[in-house]
Amino acid sequence: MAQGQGQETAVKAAKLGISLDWLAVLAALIAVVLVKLGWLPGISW
Amino acid sequence: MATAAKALEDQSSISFPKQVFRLVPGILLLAAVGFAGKFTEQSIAKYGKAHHLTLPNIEYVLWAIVFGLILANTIGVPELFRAGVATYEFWLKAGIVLLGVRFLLGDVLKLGGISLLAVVIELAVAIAVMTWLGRWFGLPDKLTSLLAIGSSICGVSAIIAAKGAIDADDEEASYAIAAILAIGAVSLLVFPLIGHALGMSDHAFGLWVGLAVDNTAEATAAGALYSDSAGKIAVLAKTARNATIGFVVLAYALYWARKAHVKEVTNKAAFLWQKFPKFVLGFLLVSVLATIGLFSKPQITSLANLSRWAFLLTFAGVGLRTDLREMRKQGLRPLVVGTVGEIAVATVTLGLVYGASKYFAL
Repeated sequence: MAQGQGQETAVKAAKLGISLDWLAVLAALIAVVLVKLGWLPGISW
Repeated sequence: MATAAKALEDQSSISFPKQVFRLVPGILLLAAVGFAGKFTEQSIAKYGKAHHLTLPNIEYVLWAIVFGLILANTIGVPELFRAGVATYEFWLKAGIVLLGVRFLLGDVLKLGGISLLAVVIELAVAIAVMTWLGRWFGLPDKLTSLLAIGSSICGVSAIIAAKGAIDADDEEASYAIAAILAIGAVSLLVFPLIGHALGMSDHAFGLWVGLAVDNTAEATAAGALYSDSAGKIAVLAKTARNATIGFVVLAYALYWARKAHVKEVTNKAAFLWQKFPKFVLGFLLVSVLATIGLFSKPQITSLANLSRWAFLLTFAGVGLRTDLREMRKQGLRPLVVGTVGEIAVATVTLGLVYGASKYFAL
């Protein structure tokens, strides 16, 4: 394993999280709409 | 630190469809590791029930993290998977937005208000302690600032947000990130043990974790390790803490602009908006929709379960990016400063939580 791989991933994840902040909100809201419309029913855990 | 420094640079010269395609293997790996954790928890429970044995209930959260950790620290995560593994922060934010469905706005305002009050005190303590310790240990001033920002708000994201604003170099940011990640990994395991030893309620523990654990992913995992309800409260408290990121980074940017030749922030409102974590707004919106009764009970259950699936990917990502060898290689002084500071913050926030539990009947 390359040195610093975990840290590199953490940095990438945080950068991705910051730049895709709105996209995460959008993805969640699309899921909300799909569940509300009954197109994504009965998600179990 | 070279690879982390490289990751701090912008490296998005690949086209958007190619970028999305590159994420697929890693996302599948997150799903496989996370699902293995869930499957293990269920299998142990089933085995215990079938054989009338009382086996310890080890949550899927811990299994997912442990499996990820074993994988990352033995065979390693191949390059092909790394871009997708890094999406765990995206799933975390989407999961938090969906979790809004489990909160009525009144609870958000009450608990969020209490959390914000505690956050103000936590911020003051964390920044003061880290600054004093950094000077005492002779750390460079900007590294001390990054450690203070990382420990007082939200770990790696806050450090990255602050790096440009205070013009810190890559090496300082890498040291601060390494220290925060190491402390986060330890906190994840230590906090639930302390919580159980002190017999803390789910609400009190969730609030404590949300205030004291740095990275949002680790805070969410530590809360979920304690109980489902504690995980929910931990996310709310941590979200309130994350919301202050812009103010703290702005304060540091202004401080460094005055102290050194760092570019002055001209439009403060735009700066605050740029740094503000937008998923907080999504969380509030979904909570409002749930409060006005837009969803039926089965719909609320579906959305809450979807949030759990998103968190499952996050927990797998936490394990996959925890590199134990890397932690051993980092400089000792930033780690010592971070650890001593974190202990001070954890102690003060524990006192705050006990106070809040007494006065607000948590």
